[in-house]
Amino acid sequence: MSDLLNIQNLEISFQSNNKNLKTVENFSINLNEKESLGIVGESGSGKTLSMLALTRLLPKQASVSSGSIIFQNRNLDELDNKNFYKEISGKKISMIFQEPMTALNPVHTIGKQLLETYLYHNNVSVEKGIERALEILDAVKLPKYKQRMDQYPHQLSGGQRQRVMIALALINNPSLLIADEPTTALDVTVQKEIIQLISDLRETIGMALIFISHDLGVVSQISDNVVVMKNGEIVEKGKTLKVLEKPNHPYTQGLLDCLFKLEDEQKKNQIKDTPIIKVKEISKSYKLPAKIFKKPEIIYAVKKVSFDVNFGETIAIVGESGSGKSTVAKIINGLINKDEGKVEIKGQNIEDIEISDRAKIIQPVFQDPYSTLNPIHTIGYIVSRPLTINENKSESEVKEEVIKILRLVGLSEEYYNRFPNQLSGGQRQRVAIARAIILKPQILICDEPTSALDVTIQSQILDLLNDLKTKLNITIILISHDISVVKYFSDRIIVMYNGEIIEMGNTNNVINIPKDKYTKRLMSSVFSLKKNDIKFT
Amino acid sequence: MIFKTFIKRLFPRSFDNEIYNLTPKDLIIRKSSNHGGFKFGLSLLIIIFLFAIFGPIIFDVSPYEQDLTKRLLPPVWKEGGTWEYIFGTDGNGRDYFARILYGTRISLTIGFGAACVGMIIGVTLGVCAGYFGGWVDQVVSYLLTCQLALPGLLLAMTIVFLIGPSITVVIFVIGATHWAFFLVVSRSATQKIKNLDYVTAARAIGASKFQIIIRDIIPNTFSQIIVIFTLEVGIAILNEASLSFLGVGIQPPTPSWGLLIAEGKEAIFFQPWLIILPGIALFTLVVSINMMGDGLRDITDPNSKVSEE
Repeated sequence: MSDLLNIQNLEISFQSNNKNLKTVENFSINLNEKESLGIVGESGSGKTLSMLALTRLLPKQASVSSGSIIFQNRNLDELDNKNFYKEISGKKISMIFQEPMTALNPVHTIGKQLLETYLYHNNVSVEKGIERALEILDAVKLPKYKQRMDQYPHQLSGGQRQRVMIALALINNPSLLIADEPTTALDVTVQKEIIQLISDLRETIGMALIFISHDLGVVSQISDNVVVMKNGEIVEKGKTLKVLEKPNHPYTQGLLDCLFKLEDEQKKNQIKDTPIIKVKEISKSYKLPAKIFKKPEIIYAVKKVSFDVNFGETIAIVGESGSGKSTVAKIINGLINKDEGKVEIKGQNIEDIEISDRAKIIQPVFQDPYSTLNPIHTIGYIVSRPLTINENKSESEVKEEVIKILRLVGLSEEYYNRFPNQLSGGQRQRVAIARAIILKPQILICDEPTSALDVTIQSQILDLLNDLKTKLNITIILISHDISVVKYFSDRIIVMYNGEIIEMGNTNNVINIPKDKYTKRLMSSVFSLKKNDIKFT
Repeated sequence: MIFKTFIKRLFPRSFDNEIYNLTPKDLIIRKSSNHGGFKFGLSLLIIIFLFAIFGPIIFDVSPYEQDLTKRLLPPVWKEGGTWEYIFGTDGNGRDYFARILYGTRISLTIGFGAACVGMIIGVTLGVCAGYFGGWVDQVVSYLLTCQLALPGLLLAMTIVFLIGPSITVVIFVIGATHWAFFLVVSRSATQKIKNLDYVTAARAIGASKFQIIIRDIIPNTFSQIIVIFTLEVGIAILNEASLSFLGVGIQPPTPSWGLLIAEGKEAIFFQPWLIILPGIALFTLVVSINMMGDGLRDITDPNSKVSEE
């Protein structure tokens, strides 16, 4: 096989503060025709940046400072921008991005966007173009593809948009497709379909693929070779199976450990048989604004949901986005009013509990580490606020307690006077946890606490939660879409779909013998990379 | 360059090399010391402030003292001008330089005073509308529509005419007719912020609505409000000039720039400096404030591309 792409010693630097910050160094990869390569690394490892350099989409402050890119025996450095966009970008090399919601232009129809891409690179009639557009929409298995040409992006779901994105990328039959975390923003069940689709299309079209992801599990499914990046450098490369089986670099080993650790058994809390939370038939609906001559439409976010949570138990609520799992959590926390039903915490109606008492019983931890902390306050202030609001304590007592809690979540004293923007995502999440546990609540509601974090950080935060759970004997309601996290962490699982509970039971039972059709689909969509899987070769 | 070394002396921490260790304040200082327009506008404004405060003390000539024997003397660079009267004299033989100097005080007082009044009204209404939503939002939006439908200057003229002109009245009238921008900006900012996780977290730890508004919401809208504030200062200064020019603002003999222009308009062909000089003063002040406002917008916008050099 001949070389399709050869990148030698690529170096990308950021112009900042009068000095060059090297973000990618010594990046060399070699890609054959029809080969698929996975690039794995955490955010900030330079995996996306190096591919943006290849497609000349680097942000303004960044520039390629050295290195050569040879594509199909042509040195791309010698091409000027105009020729590059005309001949290479979008024609020979296409790229799919992470966020399907923003990657399509909302004011143009799907058809127009497809045609634009096709006609720019091919000198053919509009009819031919439409023919080709329909052909490619069919190829990406867009349901009812014939009607889609006149539709606008907002009329499609996230998965469908990503299919259109793939169609856009493939309409010119590229020889190389770069997929930058194409499934991260999608629901798990859709994720698997999209990855399957990309992998199928690669074989039928016969193109090479570079698949960027933070998820080793996904990469192991789709790529022949894998490159592991850390801090802008390649730390390991080789055949996917070999790397997974026998990682040479400690970092790769660490990544794998993080994945495998989720399989291990963990310490369980003492669970009492008495329920701490009783949820009885709660419902929440939203009215859409009324149209003329039409009754206002009512959408149920949560429909007659009932369950109990026992003292010390960890219960997980899983489901895709829009299934109502976050709404349930907020209702239990008293942050949203429900329409019907009853939520009892320790035998008391949630509405009857004083807000300051409620704060001492139940606390939330949120998903996004960037919006969970108020950027204008110091960490000390943020963590001490629950105390100053709810308890009368002297300033020095409060400070002492805050520092104690910060230590407990693994942050040293010096973070007291820092601001959130000086912390990494994982550290912010630790602060958010500190704020939640400083009042010593008995219940913690964790709404996807780790899904915005990198794999290694994710496992650290899970460890922390696990640790706190046994130390403080907290009951946890965990909301997640990540089955491996749920499996590692929870005693019982509740599966929600369209606002209703469709399955509930012991973690192992639900994962191994799912009864409901949707649960089955959900469980099979997990790319679990197990120790046993690799042992074949 | 001088500006930068000065700022560096004042805030040495902001120029430590590690961006990671900077507080939000440090970042703003660092960004502002690299923004040309902001530096120029701010420097000019500081100079104008110094003039307004210390000018009349150093240049000890009364702006009210008339000397009818020395009417309409030309400024020093014109034929017949003397260094005794740098900007010449006006129709009543008053020293024009002293009058413009005093006018600076009036313009600044009214500009900043009126913008403050407008900010208090607008931000209060906007934050309430954004945070509480529902009928509060509808009432406020209705008020906004009314305010936008009224011709501001005409309204201000009527009110000043009815109450009687004085500096305080002019400040409050201009302020009371200029809160629409504040309202719109703080309302939309509040709507965005109230859905963020840290507000939900504050509710969960038992913070009251008032605490949330004061501690979490208003400080985070501040960066946007300050931009509107500077723009409104410029607008208020121009408004005061218009009102005074039309005779319903500051009353003679108080030397407001708008009034100076009004008084000079009869002599526009023969003594044009009577209009040109206060005009230049007005122009310089408003441009400096607007440049600073533009700069502030760039600096406080987290996505701005002000180089962190």
